[in-house]
Amino acid sequence: MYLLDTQQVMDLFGRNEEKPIFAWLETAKPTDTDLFVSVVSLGQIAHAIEAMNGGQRNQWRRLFQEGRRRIEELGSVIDIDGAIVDVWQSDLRGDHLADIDGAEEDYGEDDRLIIATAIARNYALVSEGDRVLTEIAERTTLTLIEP
Amino acid sequence: MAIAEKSNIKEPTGQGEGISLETLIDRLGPNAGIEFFNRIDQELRRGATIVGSTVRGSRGGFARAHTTGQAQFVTPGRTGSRDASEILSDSLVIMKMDDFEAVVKAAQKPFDWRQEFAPRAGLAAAASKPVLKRGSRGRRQLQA
Repeated sequence: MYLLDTQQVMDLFGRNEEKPIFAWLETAKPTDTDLFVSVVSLGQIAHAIEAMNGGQRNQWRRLFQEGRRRIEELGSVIDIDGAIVDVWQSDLRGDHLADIDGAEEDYGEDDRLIIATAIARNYALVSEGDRVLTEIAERTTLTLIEP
Repeated sequence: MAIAEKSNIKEPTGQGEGISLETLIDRLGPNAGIEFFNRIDQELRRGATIVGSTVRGSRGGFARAHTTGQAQFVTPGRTGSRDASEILSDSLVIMKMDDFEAVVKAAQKPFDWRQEFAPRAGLAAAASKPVLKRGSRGRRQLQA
């Protein structure tokens, strides 16, 4: 089972097959019940779209609307529940990552909730990854896959 | 279990009766037809043909049908003067649920995320490729 990080969801919704996520899908071949998206990612993407300029924003609104509708139809959107909050609270929230250089600046609580979702559900997080995520994976049960 | 391939279909020798794999493929489609064929008890298969047991004979087949891959195929009445499609229509199958599930799944087109999110008429690929940079203090900021 896989959880797509926000950038991967955006690349998927963008339907640009040159993006690495499409090559990964070809290799991993997840079924319709293998791939999930956090509701937090949908919020992050909606926020990013509103910051775009006019023409770009209009196209992305439509791509987002269609992409969201499809993954909701497939039952692939994961809401935040108690188990996710428990992981976030005990391992990731606030000062828990203070000793990882860059985590405070780069990883907001919304990002941490996405990571907590992957850990709580025991799904592999499909993400471009970086040093902070690698360190989080080393200290938690997070499994990281770079497409 | 050997997988029957359509390319390997051979006429059974000396078997005038029964349901051929070809007939099954015509009725169920290639994937489901082959899957179904492979899940029929080996003892009921002659080459690429299923020769069903009789109703009486099938009574002893229930126990075998409990085992995956040994589904029983029962052909009621005399089959000699009937064509294959008629025999198939009247036949009965006793199969374990796991076998049935495998046949149904084989008939389904596999889900493809790439296909689901491919550009299509009225929904072209995005002209821009925004990168959501991990931002400061809880935000991801759009990189131009």
